[in-house]
Amino acid sequence: MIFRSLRYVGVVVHKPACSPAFIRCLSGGGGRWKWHRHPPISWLRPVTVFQRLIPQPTRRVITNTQTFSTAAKERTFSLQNEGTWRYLKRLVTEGQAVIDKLQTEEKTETENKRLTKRWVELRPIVEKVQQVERTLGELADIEKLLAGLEDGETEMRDLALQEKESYENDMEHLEDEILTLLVPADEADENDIILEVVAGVGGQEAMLFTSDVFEMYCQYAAYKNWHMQVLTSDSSTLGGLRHATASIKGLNAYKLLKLEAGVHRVQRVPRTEKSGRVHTSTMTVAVLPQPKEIDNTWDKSEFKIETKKASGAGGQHVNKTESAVRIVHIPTGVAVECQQERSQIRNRAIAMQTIQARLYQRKLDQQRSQRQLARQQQMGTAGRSEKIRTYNFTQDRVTDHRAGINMFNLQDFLIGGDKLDEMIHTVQQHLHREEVLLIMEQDTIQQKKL
Amino acid sequence: MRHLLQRALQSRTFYWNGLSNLRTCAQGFRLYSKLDQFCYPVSLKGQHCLNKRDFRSGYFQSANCSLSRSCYTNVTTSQDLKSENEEVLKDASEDCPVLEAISYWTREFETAGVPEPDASAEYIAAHVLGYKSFSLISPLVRNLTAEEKTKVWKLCEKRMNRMPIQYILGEWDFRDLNLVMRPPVFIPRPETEELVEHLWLYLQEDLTREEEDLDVLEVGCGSGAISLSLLQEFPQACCTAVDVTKEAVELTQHNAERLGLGDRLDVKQMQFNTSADFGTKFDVIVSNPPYIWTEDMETLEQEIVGYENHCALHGGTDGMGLIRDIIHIGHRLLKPGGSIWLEVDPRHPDMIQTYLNNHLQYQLQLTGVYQDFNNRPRFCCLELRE
Repeated sequence: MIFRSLRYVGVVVHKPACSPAFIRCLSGGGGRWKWHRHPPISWLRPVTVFQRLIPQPTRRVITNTQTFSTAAKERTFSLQNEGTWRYLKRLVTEGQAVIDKLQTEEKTETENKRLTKRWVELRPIVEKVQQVERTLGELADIEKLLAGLEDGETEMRDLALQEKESYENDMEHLEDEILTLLVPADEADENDIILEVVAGVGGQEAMLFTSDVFEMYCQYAAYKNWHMQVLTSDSSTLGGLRHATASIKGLNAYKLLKLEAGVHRVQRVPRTEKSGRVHTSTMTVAVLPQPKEIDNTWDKSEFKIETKKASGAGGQHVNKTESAVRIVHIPTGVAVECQQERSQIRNRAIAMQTIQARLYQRKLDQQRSQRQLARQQQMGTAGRSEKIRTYNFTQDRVTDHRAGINMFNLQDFLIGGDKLDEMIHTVQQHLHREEVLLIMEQDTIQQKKL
Repeated sequence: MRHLLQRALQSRTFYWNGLSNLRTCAQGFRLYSKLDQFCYPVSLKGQHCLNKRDFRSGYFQSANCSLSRSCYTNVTTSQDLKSENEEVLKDASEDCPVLEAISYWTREFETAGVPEPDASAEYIAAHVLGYKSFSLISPLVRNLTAEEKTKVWKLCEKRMNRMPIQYILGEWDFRDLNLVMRPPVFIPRPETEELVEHLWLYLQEDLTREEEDLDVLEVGCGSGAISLSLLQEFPQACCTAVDVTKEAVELTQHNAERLGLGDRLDVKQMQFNTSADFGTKFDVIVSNPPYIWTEDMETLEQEIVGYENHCALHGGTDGMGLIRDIIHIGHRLLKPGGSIWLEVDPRHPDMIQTYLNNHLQYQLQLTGVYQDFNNRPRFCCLELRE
């Protein structure tokens, strides 16, 4: 949700006003900054999404945050964005057209299948958009009511405000849901994963940090109730980790953790450092989906079955003992021959089984090489500049460079609980927005072409 | 493997001509690549050759060229070995390598014009050694003992007289079953396996069948192949099988008992005509009736004409004799929703359609014509009109 990202954006704006010394003094010397952990809500409600859709004279706005949110609005997905709204409207129109066609016209079977598939995709979006329109209508009514109220009717005003609040909440959720619907699902989202951490540049310090991060993910897995099993780990003499892998099984494991893949940078005074200088080191995280049980079903038409052709009329006219069968999978060219049985139909069954096993193996191999590729991309060169996130201990701050957000209280973050979860969700939202924006842009271009 | 091959090479039991007879290209190739890997620096250029002839020629070329460069000089060329082995083969008291026996008989069959010479020799050898097919044997391992050799020679003599392989071995496979084959009872063809496959799929689709009984009538059961396959695959099925010849009825009964399916099978020797009465109705009538036209009877191979019962083959001037009877009598024997399944000549489906159009009183409808593996229309499904 936009608020979540803005929350940290807002915090950033406030933050530089406090010097590190100030922070230390607030936290009582422990480097912790407890009161910031649950900031008062009033701080964090900078701008509501539909603020511009409805006139709100009584709105309290923190000015600093507003400038930020306006900037954010232009490059992210949001319902106030005219382009978004236009895109959604277009989807709704298309949905209407599809359903009309489905109900009325005579169609071929393939056409029917295509339309049904499209409708299944569009239906939730259409429904949500209708819901948004309804909620907006309700909100407009409440605004009218509020404007018409006399000063004395406080009770009525309170009620109206309460209702407005709840509708605004609904809007937040709706925007969230629409965003999720617009993002195309990753095929591997449901898969289990293999998490791999490798120390990058920075020697022993990098290994120590790798160990910290790995521990963070272990705790995060526990927090998420995932089943985690450490597969390999290679420790260094100082208690760091050169390299470790773990398999994680659980709901949405890949969906969430795939965002953690990349180079993580740490800036701190290492334990190994004697003169107190701050070092910068890196470690990399790779997240690879494990292959699921693949459907062993291939279309019958993909196979060409060859048998020894009987010359002449066949059937009772001939008595051939030749029972060899050869099956070719046309798309891949994989061929299997079987002649160990005297019954042709048995040979055919065996050959079919064999070829399916071969094709399955092939698919697995392909998946494996794809994973290999994904791993290489994620690992990158482990240089200091390719980072996705920085852990700055001296400022007690975590910065995610993709979404451009900061979070404070590093120790809490490294526990791998709420904070990490929020960070991941924020980044996810951010990336989703970017992705949807891209889709919308492409759509606009396509529409123009048409 | 390396050890074995070396031993084989040294003891000269292994010679190139023998290998050329390897029934399975795949096996040959596998063998070859092993050889290649262990003995020779030259590799076979071609990919997996599936055409037997390609395989042989390609194989020979590279084998020869490998040989010429080979360090194994103690391997004599095939020409030398051939003459030597001819003598060994003639001497009945001596052991002989399986491959040599096979290649010898393949040549004999070829000269005598016996069809499928290589397959025949291989099936016989495999049978004597206790295997179902040649590709299951590792050909390098074993020599034929004198006793086995006599057996092979005896059986191959029969083949020289054009006896079908199935009769020579006395047994053959039909789908998942192994059936006894005895002359002159008709030998089930691979097409009939497909007929059962189509019927099986048809019955599978009908989900309600699972609880219900399945009553099947087979007309012209021969060795009992169709009925026994159905009984084996549908535990709730009961079959009645009829045939006009005594030998067929006895063989079906024998096969049923051998497979332990006798309790659900009722075999009757009878003419399938209007007087046929079974006291019950059937879900399915299935038949592989004689369907060869009189004009075609003369063109049949010697194996068929000389050994198989003509009444299992000859279907009258247009091959429709028994087919018409089955339609005429069968429609009364079907339960509502029942069907008749027939294997026929490729010309027959159209004729059956015309026949049914002219005889609407049978209430039968040709609802499915299926092709066999040679893409000829071969199987007909006739359903009772609702």
